[in-house]
Amino acid sequence: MEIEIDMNNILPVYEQIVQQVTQGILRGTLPPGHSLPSIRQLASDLGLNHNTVARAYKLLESRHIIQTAGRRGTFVHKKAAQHIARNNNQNAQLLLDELVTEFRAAGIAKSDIHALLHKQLNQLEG
Amino acid sequence: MMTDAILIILALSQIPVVFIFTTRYICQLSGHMAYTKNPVWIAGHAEFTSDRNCNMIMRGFSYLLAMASLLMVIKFALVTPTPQLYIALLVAPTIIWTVAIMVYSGVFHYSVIRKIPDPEIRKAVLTDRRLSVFVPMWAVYLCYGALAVILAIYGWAWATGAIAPELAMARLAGLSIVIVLGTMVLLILLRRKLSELEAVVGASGRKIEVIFSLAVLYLGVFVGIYRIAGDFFDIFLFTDAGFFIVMNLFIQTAFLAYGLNPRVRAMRRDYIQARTEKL
Repeated sequence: MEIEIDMNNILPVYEQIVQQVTQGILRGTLPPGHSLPSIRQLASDLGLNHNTVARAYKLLESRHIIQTAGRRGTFVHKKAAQHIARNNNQNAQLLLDELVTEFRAAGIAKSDIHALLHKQLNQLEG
Repeated sequence: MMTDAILIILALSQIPVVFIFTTRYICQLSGHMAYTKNPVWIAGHAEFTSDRNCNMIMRGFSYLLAMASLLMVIKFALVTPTPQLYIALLVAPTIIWTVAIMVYSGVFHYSVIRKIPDPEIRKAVLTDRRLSVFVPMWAVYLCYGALAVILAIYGWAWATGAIAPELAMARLAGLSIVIVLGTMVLLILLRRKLSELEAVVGASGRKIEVIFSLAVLYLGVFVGIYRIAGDFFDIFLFTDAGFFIVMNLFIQTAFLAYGLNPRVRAMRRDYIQARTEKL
């Protein structure tokens, strides 16, 4: 799988790496156990600072999407897809919590919030 | 007599095949690799001629080597036939050319490729390039172990005087050069992002390069064993001339086949076109 980094993108470079690795795993192009390039190799190939790639790898590792096995290298975690799904659910939960708290602070009734969310979901589903 | 004739024919045929044809396409492929790094920047910088200068120097050197080689063959094979020099006429220019190509590759990397800035949109393959991905590590350890044993044997022979010290030193120097050059090539093949052979034969290109480079190190082991058999036990499995004939035939055939590959020719054409458009 090929990774593409846009230096003009407003998203930080390390986030772009995290996003693309995550997408690759969800699409199946990076299967569990796939051997990823070393930090040095990826940094050199992309013309980036080692620390940028190291930061991306650290973030992916903290989310249990990849795992490092010392000198044997870095691999896609066996349960990476499950961990991504769990992380996404947790993120969604946090965002929803924030949103609902804001709505409540603005004085919107529970039933109205429920109706708004329902309407939005229906619109998304088309 | 027959062997001498083959040595002379190969020494002559390698002049157009290696020193002219191969040098030309290696320079063009290097240029192509450099231009693919950032085609937009290249197109907008007509003043960037480092690739042209670097390639001109390499081609000039190689053509000089070709002329010197031709003159040597004429002098020592036709004017004053000297059979003891026939192997040197075949091997020496090839070794000089190999070293020149290695120096050229390094210079080209630092004076051309590194001068071209990375593009705003950068790409890389998310595949590991460590050695164990391409070859089993036991094969690498076995090779280096065998080379170390051969070096130790000649080191011991040199220290104890088991064979003539000059001979032991020559064998040690020869084998050390093979180990250093072989290891350098192996590391470069693994570290560099772009691989010409990958562009020609696809994803397995780098694997072929790595296997081939390891095979060169195994050839060092093979030659080492052959030399030990000859130097210590007076067993000669084949002649020096036979070995160099086979090696040279292989080198010339491989260079010709690679240079005439349609994809290599397409890459060379692309580079010439891009260079012409830039002017």
